[in-house]
Amino acid sequence: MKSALTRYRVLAYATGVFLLLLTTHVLVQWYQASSEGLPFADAPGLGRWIPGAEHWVPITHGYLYLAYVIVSVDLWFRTRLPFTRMVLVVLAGTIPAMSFVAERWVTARVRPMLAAQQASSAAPRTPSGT
Amino acid sequence: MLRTALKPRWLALLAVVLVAAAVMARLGEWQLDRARQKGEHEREAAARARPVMPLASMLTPRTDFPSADADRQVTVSGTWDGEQQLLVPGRRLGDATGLWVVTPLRLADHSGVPVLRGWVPDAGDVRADPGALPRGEVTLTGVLEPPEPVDDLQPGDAGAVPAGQVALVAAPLLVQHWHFPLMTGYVVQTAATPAPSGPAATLHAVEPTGAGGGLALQNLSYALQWWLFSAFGLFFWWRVVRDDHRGRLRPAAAGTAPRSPSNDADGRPKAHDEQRVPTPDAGDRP
Repeated sequence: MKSALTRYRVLAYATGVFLLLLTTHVLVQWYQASSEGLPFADAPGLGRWIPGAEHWVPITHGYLYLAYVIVSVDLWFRTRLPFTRMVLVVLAGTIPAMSFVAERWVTARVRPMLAAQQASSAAPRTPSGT
Repeated sequence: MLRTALKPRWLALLAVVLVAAAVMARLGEWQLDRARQKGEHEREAAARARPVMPLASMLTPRTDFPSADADRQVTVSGTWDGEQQLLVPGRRLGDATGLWVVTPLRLADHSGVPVLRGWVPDAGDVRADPGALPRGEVTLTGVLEPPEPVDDLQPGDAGAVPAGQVALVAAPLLVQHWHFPLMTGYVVQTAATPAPSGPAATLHAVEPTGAGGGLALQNLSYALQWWLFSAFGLFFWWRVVRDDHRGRLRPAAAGTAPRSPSNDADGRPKAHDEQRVPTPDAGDRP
């Protein structure tokens, strides 16, 4: 469960960063399109300063989000956090900056589980409960 | 396992997952289509952006078509060989089906290149009349297209067309009508000087169709991602059912009423059989 949490956290940050990059790219594109009279699709966005960014930012974000969904669901299988909340966590990866919030929420919930797991592996099993 | 999978809630979840997977697979196809279109568009735009070249510098008779030169703009000078004009049936322009007008342009070395001059709604259309073509030297500009693939023909198609017509603009068929050294590929005429006079001047031009090929990496990537999401949905269903089968999920009867498919994966565990974790409070979010 610990490594699943780590995987989740890494991807939550990576997806979050790339979604912010993607959002910036689209906003810049929109600005360029309106200020320079270009069709939106032809505006270079971040590609003007970072070569090829208009291709690899969306592509990378796509794969990162896919991985984010997979590790989120994997974490859910291991922790059985409330299912609807996990759906929200997965959706958070599509809203700029929300994956950071989701990451805080998930980490705050899973850490006590990890602590309990460690305690139980040290001590004989007792019925759970707080 | 099968009996677990056939529980109404898992069947309901399966239905949801299958619908989602179908939608996502369709979205993937759509992106693949976009990848083809954009790739083709990019390749064509790149070809059109290259300088206009004399045809002779890229293509000589009886040589393979240089596929890197597809969709390039070319100029070519020669004389119309109107007598040998052919029509190509079954060609669309907008919503109408008609014929392409293909006339050989003979070059100084007596070889020829097929020129797609335009489109007519029927074979008798006066605008296709080759008699109206100017005599003497003409200079054309146009777009170079590769020969149409003869693999598309059904057996018998090539011979089934009326006299004066040809099934495809492809050298293997054209040489049966034209007995001179022939260029592979053809030129879609965009301008000619001098232009034909009379009704022939109003012949409908044909838009170059583009040679095909090229895939936009970005959309190809999106297509793949949609399909992976779609597969992951199915995997997710299988995992949930398997877990239920192994008794890791609490039976539905222990909870409240059956849940809706969107959260029926028994998302509110009160106790965990193996992991013995504290119950996460479902209420608050940070």
